[in-house]
Amino acid sequence: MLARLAWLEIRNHYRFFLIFAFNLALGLMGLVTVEGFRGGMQDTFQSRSLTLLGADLEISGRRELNQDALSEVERQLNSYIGPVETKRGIGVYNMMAYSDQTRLVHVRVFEHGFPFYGEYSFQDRFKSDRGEYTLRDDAVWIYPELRTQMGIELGEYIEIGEAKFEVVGIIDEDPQQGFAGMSLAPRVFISHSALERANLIQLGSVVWYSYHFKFLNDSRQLSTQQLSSIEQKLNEPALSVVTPERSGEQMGRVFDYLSDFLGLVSLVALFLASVGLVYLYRSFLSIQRRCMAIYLSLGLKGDQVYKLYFWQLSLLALMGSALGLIMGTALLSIISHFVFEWLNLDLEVTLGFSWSLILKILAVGIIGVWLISIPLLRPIKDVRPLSLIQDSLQESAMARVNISYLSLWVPWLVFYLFLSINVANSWIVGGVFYLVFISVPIFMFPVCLFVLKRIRLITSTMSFCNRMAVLYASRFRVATTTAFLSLLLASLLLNIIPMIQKGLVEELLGPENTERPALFLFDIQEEQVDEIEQFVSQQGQRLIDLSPMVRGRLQKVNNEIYDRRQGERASTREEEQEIRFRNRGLNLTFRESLNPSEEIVRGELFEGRYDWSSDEIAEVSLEQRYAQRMGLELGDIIEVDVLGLPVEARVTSLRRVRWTSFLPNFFILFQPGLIDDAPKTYLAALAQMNDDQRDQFQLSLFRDFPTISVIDTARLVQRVMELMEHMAKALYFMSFLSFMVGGLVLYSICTHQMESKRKDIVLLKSQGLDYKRLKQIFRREFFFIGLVAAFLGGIFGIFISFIIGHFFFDGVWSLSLMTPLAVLIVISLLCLGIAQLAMHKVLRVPAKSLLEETSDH
Amino acid sequence: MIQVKNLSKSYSNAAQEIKVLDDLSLEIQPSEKVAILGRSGSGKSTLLSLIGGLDRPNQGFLIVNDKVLFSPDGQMSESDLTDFRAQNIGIIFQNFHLLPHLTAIENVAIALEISKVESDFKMALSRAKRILSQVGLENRADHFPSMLSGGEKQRVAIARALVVDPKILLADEPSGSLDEATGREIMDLIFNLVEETKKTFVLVTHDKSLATQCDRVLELDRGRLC
Repeated sequence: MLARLAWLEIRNHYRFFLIFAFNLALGLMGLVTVEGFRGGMQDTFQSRSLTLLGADLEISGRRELNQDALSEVERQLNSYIGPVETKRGIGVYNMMAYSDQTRLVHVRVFEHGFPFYGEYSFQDRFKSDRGEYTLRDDAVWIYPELRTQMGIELGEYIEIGEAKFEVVGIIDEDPQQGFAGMSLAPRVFISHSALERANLIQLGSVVWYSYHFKFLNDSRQLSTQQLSSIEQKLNEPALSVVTPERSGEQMGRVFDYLSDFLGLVSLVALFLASVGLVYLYRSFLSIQRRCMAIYLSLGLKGDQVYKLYFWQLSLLALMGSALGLIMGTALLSIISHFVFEWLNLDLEVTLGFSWSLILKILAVGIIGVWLISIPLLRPIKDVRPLSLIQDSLQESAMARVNISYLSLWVPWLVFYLFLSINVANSWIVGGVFYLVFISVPIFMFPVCLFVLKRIRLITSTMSFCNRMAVLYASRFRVATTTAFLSLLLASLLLNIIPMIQKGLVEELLGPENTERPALFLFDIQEEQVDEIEQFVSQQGQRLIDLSPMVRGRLQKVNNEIYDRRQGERASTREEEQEIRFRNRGLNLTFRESLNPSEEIVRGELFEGRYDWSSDEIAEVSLEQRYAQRMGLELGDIIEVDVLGLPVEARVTSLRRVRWTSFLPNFFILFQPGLIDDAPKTYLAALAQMNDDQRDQFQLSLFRDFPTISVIDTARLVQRVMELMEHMAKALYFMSFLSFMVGGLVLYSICTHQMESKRKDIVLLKSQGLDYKRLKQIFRREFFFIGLVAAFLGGIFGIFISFIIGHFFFDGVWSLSLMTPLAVLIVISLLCLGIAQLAMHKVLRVPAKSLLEETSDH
Repeated sequence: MIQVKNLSKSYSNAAQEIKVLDDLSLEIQPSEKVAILGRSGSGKSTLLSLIGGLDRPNQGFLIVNDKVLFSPDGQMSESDLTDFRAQNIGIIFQNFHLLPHLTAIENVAIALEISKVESDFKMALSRAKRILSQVGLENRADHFPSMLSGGEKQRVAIARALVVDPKILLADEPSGSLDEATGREIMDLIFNLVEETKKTFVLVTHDKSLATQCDRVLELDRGRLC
């Protein structure tokens, strides 16, 4: 019976419930899209994880496994899963030259029979079956972008290191290449003997070694214990042990950064939708108060009436969530196409419904609505059948707002905090988002109510239309506040994203970086230093900040073995970063002074060289974020393993580094004199030059120093900018969705408000107020709400983007007045438009209808 | 039988306490028709709401059909009071108070379901149809309240009040929202049905001519019987 009554109410108010369900669906649509995208990518990477890794197990790192260690791994694998086949892979970054062009490439050694799973496919005539292709000593396969960007064709010759190679294949699909858009350099494949011929590996070269294992007994997998036993035996944090499952997770994680932020923006839409739902259902319940009293008078118990509306809300939540799933999936297929294009992603990704997505969205939609229902349905308990006889006694029951009522909102707010952290995969990002987007409305709600209550006092000096507009806004305070907060949040969102993006763009391109180096050189051998300085000077150029680079690994902190948390699985972004940092090898340097992109923020930089004869411990300066992630403080004594030798130093300063300067910078800066004799390579930057000079310089450098690698910073910045632009596009798209939800909420409120004012309007008409002035009153009311909300949204946006820039992007922030101005105009006009739309029908009600209105059902 | 003894009811707001019923005592016999007259604010609607179990007094005794609704020793729980209302009381309101999302027949049938007189909705509809034809609305059964005239709405409300066969029928100015002719028709209908079914009937009204059609007339002034 309760279900039928709930359904019959829905049937009778189907327009209202359609708006309700559509509102929720629109709020959930963004989240469905983002989660669907994230899930689809993860599923794709998981299902393709075997071909992405190309093996059943991979051990890789920046150092070679010695024969004993390799044999031990093979022995362990034999005992766990039977016989294995092993292949070794090598990857190194080096310059490539073709005609008069040079380019940094990622040189990979092709080993016959690898990958074990998946196969390369080639463009044009070069086609081979798996296992049959071989690479001659003087042949190379190249990635397709080298063909499109440099015009290299099959049969032509390119130079890599000290050797020449004939291009015999242009790869169409590399099963191990997830997405090309984010890699530093395109891949080329050469044979193992060619690697030696080209002399690509020298001391200090950035080389990646990998060992691939194929389990010859099918359907055998390593257990977690077996995997950690292999890791323990290796006892080498610089080496990573990767299974197909982990590989798939790692690939998917790259997309998580984008989807985390998109997810957060979509939560704004959900929050706005929730605000709209609260307003809509609250208004509906207010209308239904009489029905509730009738139910009670007929013999329904209070808890039965409560249940009736609870199930009604649940049904609506289910309908809205289901609609959101359908709409979100449709949107997903549209935006995923663009995202793949932007990221140059060459993957066949199956996106769509998955059970986990359906369950998650239903859970968010339904649990969210259930939690809202706690405060929303609370006033039902105060409805008495007596109100059917004495209406006035119950008038205030639905609107009573006090501390105990407000405390009923806490579960929903906690749920939102949990959701923010879950969607962001980060306590910090989720927490900051929550603080900004939830605290602002929570703070503004009472402020708004107070201002609206007091604003009546200053209306006496206003013109008639303005006074009426303000009085209406003041009379329907909750409605005005709800509309205002929805617009404020939409304005805030629309302001923050462009301001942060502008700050980042200016950081990359702005005046501080006019001196940004044109090229960044690495893999310079110690014995090449004098020659390269001479060479650069001959070219009329200047080397900036030539810095030694030593490889090392943090071993101890304050005499205790550093806990690497190896093998732990991270549940948040912060944990993931911390574990990764704890396990990675380090590039260290030593120098007496800071470069222009560095600044001491705590402590003092060491002075002079380290004196081995003194009893004092050497000093070290750490990059502040690195120190924070590693849990290191001023005064700590760290022990770093530099190629087998322990080196101890005390942390005496923390530095801020402006990484976008593209100068050689390091997390750890030792006092000179301590590790000067360690094996090292050098890094350097080259001052600005024009495009022709840059190309010419790179070519000359390649001719004289074929093993020195160069990053073209202008090209890199360009790519970062493009990527940022694409990510911003996706964020704008999601913000637009939130803006639409805000618009819908405003429309719902406007429409409801105009209906509530129907009697007033008729009365004013009967008193002689003309249509034009009536229109002006309501236009001005909503225009003022929009104007103030957009203005405050702009102010908050400037303030919050400054805070975010300060804490998350090392102070990167740039004031943009154009954005708040544009948002102000758009939102104010939107309000005018929506008000016009909502008032159109109601304002046309003739004055005579006052006489026709019947008082009741 | 309705027994009211030393019954008092007051409402308080921030400024003052308003005494609506003051030490009121009366008895209404089974099948008796009683009219309660009085000016606005005299306490007649409050008395009706107390008898109907819609509200609770502050002091005194209230016994309806041998059930103690309120006494100095205790009072009926909210849940029991609801059940009591559903099974013993039928109320006709001045403003009809029909559920707008239900048709006329559904409005009547729902009362049967809620009071648990009829758990099968189909059977409830069939009973509702019978009583709607008794009030002359057999052709308007599938209309929503918004499609009915004031008189028709009140007929549906009468049907709804009587369908559960309550022992007591309460009416709060049932013709107050209707024109004179329709009001008279409605009152005639009510009196006929009450007569036929031998129900105890309490009518709150301003209209002295209507009151005289009852067996007894009680007049209230400032919460006391005159």
